[in-house]
Amino acid sequence: MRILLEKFTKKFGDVTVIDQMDLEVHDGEMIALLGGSGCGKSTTLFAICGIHKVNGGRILFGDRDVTNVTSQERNVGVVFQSFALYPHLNVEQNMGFPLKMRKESAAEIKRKVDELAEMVHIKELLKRRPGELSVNNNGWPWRAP
Amino acid sequence: MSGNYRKWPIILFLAVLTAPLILMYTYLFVDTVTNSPVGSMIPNEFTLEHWRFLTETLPGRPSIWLATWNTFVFATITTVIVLVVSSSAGYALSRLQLPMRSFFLGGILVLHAFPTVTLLIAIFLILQMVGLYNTLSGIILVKIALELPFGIWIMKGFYDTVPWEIEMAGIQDGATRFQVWIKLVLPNVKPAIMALGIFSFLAGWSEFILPLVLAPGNNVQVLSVYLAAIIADDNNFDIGLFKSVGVFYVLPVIILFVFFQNKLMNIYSGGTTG
Repeated sequence: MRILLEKFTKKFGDVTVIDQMDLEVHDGEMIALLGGSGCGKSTTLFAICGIHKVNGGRILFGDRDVTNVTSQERNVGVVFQSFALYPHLNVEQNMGFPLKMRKESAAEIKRKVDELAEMVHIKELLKRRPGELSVNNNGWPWRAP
Repeated sequence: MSGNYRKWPIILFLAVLTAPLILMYTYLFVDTVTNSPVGSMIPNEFTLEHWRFLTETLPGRPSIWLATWNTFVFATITTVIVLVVSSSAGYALSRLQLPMRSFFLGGILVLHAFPTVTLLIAIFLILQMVGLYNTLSGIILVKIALELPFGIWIMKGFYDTVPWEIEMAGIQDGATRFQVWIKLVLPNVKPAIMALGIFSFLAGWSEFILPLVLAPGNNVQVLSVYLAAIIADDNNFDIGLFKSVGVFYVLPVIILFVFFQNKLMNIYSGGTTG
């Protein structure tokens, strides 16, 4: 799927962080955003996945305009720099949280989580909390769902 | 002997320092169940007469159980409302882009530093005007208002330590802002809620000036006012009774401290560790 940003603008208060940015990412293409601290790399990513609201311009997934679509309905995933696991939930609950928010049944959540845990070989870690995982393990629950 | 310093000087120092306190607490308790001859500190008989207030109502006073119930209601309702308002207001001030946010933050600090006593006359007049003078709800409202600045400030401090990524991840996972707060952020400030709850309860339990001035009536009397009335009564002066009521009054506080002292220290560290 193609991702297209047209004249994307983001402001925080009076400060314009990103001014009319155009970006096109083709299907299967891999892109890296490089830049100094505070130049708007994360802001751009957060706008694409719907965490930040956009102050101007459009964001398109394929031909679909998702500028004002909620994060959940865009169906995109993010791996945060600091992993951003929920510290009070165990791995299983962390993985199941988005499904729970989509109001899927408990049995269905369990099935999907088990299946994915099996796939990435973390089944024995499901009952542990993020604080009890090693650094290598920390990213996994996020990538799984 | 292990370690590279000697422990006994420290222990001795602390023992000397706390001995008077321990002695006073011991005598406080001993005097409630004994009588001493005039001029002596050594008790010569065991008695339960000082605890008679538990079973009989003293003349001119409310029943001790009514006063205890009033104190409990006062402290509990104050705690619940302080917790609900502080945890939501603290979150708003920590995370949301509110208009006049810094004004609110400054105002909270100023209000927190404001001495209660100077407000008493104004509060008294207002409560009389709105018909809440001599009612529990009146003093509960006032107590909540005075406790809130501290509570909001503490909660804001704790929310500041919760990483933003958790909330972004929550939004990304399809939760609403409200769900993010309830399900993802609140569990991470649980130590603060515990500590603030205990603090508010103890503050309510030990409140004296407000109930004394704003709700002195017998049917809304709280324990602190009940206790003060006993020592102020010159006609039936009974120091043994006063001490017994004092012990009765302080017992719940001691129990709370014994069980929750680790949690209470959290409020000063301002973090979510542990």
